[in-house]
This record gives sequence, C-alpha cells and structure tokens, in this order.
Amino acid sequence: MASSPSNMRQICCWRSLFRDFQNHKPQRRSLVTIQRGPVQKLNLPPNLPKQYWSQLPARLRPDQGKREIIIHKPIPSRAQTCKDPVSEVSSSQMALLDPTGARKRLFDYKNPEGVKVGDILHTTFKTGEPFSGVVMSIKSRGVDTSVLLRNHLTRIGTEMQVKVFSPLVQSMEVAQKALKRKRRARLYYLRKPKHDIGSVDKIVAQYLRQRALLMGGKAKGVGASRLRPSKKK
Amino acid sequence: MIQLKTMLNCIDNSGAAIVECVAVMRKKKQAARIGDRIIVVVQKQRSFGAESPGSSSLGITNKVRRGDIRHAVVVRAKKEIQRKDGGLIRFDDNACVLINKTGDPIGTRLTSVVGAELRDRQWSKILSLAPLHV
Repeated sequence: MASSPSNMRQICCWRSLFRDFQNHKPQRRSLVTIQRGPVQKLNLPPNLPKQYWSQLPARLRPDQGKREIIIHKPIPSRAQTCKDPVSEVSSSQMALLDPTGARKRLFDYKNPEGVKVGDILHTTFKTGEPFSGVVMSIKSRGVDTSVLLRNHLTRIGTEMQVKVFSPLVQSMEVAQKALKRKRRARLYYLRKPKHDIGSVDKIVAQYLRQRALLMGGKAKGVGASRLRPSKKK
Repeated sequence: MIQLKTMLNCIDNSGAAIVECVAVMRKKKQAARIGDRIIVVVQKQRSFGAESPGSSSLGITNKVRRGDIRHAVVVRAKKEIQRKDGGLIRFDDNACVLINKTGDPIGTRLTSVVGAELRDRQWSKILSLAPLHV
C-alpha cells in the first residue's frame, strides 16, 4: 500500500508528459458531432475538374445542393367520383346477366303481366332437368332476385329456390296465371296439406303442348324454342 | 337435419318402411344432410301383399327385419340445402336408402325422388336406381 502513491504519481507524470502528443491526435467523429448542424462544404476551387469529383464523398460534391422533397397531390377520393357504388355495380351486373331486360320486366311487380305469387312457373336450366312449380314467394333483391317454387315430384313435396338472373337459368315462363290475386305476399300455407296444390306437371305439360301448337310443329320444345317466348315478354 | 332419434322413411325395396337414426357417421357435432351416411334401426317393416305377416316373411322381398341395425344414406331432407348456384332445395320429408358396409344399396329399386347432392358425394349407384333426382 505504501508504494501505490508513488506509482500513481509516476503515472501522472507520464500522462503530463504525453499530454501534448494526445492533443495532436486527429479528432474522431463521435455520436455527438453528428448533431452539430449542417456539414460545412469544403472550400474547393470553383473550377475543380469533373474527373476529381468522384474522389469526393457525395455530400461534399459542389453540384449537390439541398434535396428537393417531392410532395405528391392526394389521389382524388373515389367516394367523390362515384357517389353510389352499390347501385353502379348492380346495374352493371344486371346489364351483364340480363342484357335484353326481359327477365327484369317479368319480375317487375308493377308489370301486370309479370310473375305473381300463386302463378305456375316453368323454369328450364342449361344444366339439368327443368323444374316447374307454384310460385310461393318472390324475393326482389336486384340481381339476387329469387323465386321459391313448389311442386310434387313422385308424390313428394319439393321446393326449390331459383335465382332469377342466374346464368344457369335458360328460360322462365308462366304456365298459368293465378285466378285471383293472392292476399299474401308469401304463400307458405301451401305447405299445409289442406292448401297444398299438389303436382303441377299436368298443367305445365298442357301449357307446353299448347305452346308447341302455336309455335308450329314441334311437339316438345327443346333448347332454343323454349328460350324464345320468355324473350318476347 | 338428421340426428339421433330422427325417424326417416326408407324408400327402397329392402323391406324397411320407417327407420330411426342412431348415429351420424363422420360428423361430430353436426346433423346429417343429403348425402351423409348414418346408422339406423329398422322400426317398421314394409308389408308386402303376398307375404303373410305372421309367418316367416323374411324371403326375397324383405332383406331387413324390425330391429336390424343398418347403414343408410340420407337422400331427402326437410332442412333446405344450398346449391352452388345459390338456389335452395327442400323436400317435405326425411328419407334414406339402406346400404351395406361397403356402400352398395341393399334394395334394388327406389320409389321416389332423391336429391342431386348425392352426385357430389359419389353415390352413383343410388342415383342410377332413383326414378328422379332434382
């Protein structure tokens, strides 16, 4: 312990001796120096040839001034340009799915010739068997409009809901209008045995026969001939 | 929605008239729909006119007896089922067709309409027997 003060003193001496040399060391950049304002440009000769520019760091080159910050204009709001997108989409879909507008007119509730509940509707599909039945309800939802048809197939009550504007539906024809206007919008009471109409196949077959006579020749309508009357309406 | 205790009509000529569902296969929590396989107990036998009900009527006509546990496929359901085109199909009753464990129908004829959903589930043997499918 006795020797330590002398040692300390020695070190202090050494430090004092070397202090001058330490000052001569080149100053290093530290984190503190980064925040000391803008970097001073070097006083380069104004007519420094261009071939020397590549040797300088980018920030010191005389041609580099302050970077221009580009401010883009905001994109115009879609809500401003298209006020009612839902109706626009539905109308475009309707134009795609029902170009002639015949199906839309058939299911327009203002149209007295259109489909009403209680009518017997004959529907043919592009894929699969045709289906006919009593219209129990019409759900008017624009392109998603659908009808609920009820029929008896091999004595089993069968209900099918068909999307009216589905591309799979080839034709929809009213085989028989209801005699009286129904007082209900949805004829769910037809499920009860008391009110059940039963099979409508006979009525539809008769309608198809009559139509075939009117159309001329063909006993049973196929494909194209079935499509025509629905387009006329 | 066929589940435990549901009574179904059997529409083939295997000899069963009314069956009761005791289990739905490969469905833990859901009820069975068209095309699903279930296990049933025969509750009522179909009485054929020529056969006398008292004697041994288990001949060619009746392949199953009351109390038999059999596999079956649901072919019609009261609960509406949605098709891929957005439409719905619903029947007025629940009905099934008895099958053996390999999936072949026990009966040789079907009496009434079946759902077309069977096509997606590869029940082509039942579809070929059916008089109509919608």
